Amino acid sequence: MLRVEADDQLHPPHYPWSHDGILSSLDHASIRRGYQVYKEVCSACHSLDQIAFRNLVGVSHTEEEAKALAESVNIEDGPNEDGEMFLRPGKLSDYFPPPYKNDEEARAANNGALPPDLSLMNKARHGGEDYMFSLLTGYCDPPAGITVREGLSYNPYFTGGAIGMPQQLFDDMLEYEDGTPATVSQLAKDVSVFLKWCTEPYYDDKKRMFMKAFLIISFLTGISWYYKRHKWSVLKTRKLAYKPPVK
Amino acid sequence: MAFTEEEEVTLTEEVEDEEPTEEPEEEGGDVEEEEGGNAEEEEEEEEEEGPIDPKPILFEECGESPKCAPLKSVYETCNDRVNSRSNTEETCTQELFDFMHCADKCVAKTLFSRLK
Repeated sequence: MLRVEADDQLHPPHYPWSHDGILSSLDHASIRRGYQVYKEVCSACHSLDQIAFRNLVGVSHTEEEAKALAESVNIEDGPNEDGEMFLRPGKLSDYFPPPYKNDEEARAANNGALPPDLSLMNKARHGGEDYMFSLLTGYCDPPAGITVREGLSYNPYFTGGAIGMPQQLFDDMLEYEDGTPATVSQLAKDVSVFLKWCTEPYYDDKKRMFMKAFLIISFLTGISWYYKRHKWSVLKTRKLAYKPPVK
Repeated sequence: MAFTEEEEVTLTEEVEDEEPTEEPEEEGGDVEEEEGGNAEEEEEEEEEEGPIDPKPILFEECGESPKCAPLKSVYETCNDRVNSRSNTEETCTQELFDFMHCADKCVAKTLFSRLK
């Protein structure tokens, strides 16, 4: 076939995220809302296997809340003394349980498409949170001349345009516990921030370390500069004078 | 030049929030036009009806902005051209991307100020 190929996908615009600044931390209220979105929407198909319940403590939830969340899921443990695996309520140290036992089951349940693990998704796609936000809010009708196979949806931000995941976010599909209006954009923004945190749980520490390191190193640089000048001042200010011998 | 034009878009949106029915908007105006009462009543009604996603409204407005409108018409022309032919290899993907790239940039400027 001969045709003028268009770009493979649409590049997302850059959104003014509140954590963009050089010293800006992540929006933790947004992380908490994003966790709710992940739990109630995404986790039906997407695993998040790098994050444990304990990671939520002090970030988006208190210890008691995180414990309660962990206890609400059953985790397979074992073997017991009879050599059998058993189910027990989750503990803080447990990782988020995956929706499917293995990739094959996930494919079979999703029309052949494998829902990727979201733990490192922010770094795994160009554009990071801009991409995720655009993808989640960017479903639209395909342009003329493009037919999307049955079971796929058109999304201009997805490579190739045809994505296995249909639109997932809808206005008012869930109720935020802090009363934030749950519009599609709001849901997408929160879950993007949550996944940003999942990818970089050290994000806030990184910024704080930068500030500390910058202050200390610049202070020490100043001192050593002064000290060097001070020590060299004798040498640098000496004058060499040639005095010809008087005849 | 371009910047001021998009600023105008922002302003009209904000004005529309407070006192609606001034200009008939395709999407944002829907709810408000039905009521036709005074501003306070409508605001209450809006809360009851559930939240309205600001992105499609902004996108619509950005599509009409002087910067993006030409690209939109190029896209629509392409759509009509391709749909009118029974046998063509042409697709309008690039036209869609060009238009959306422009509109996205404009949306991204103000969208987050409307979200929490």
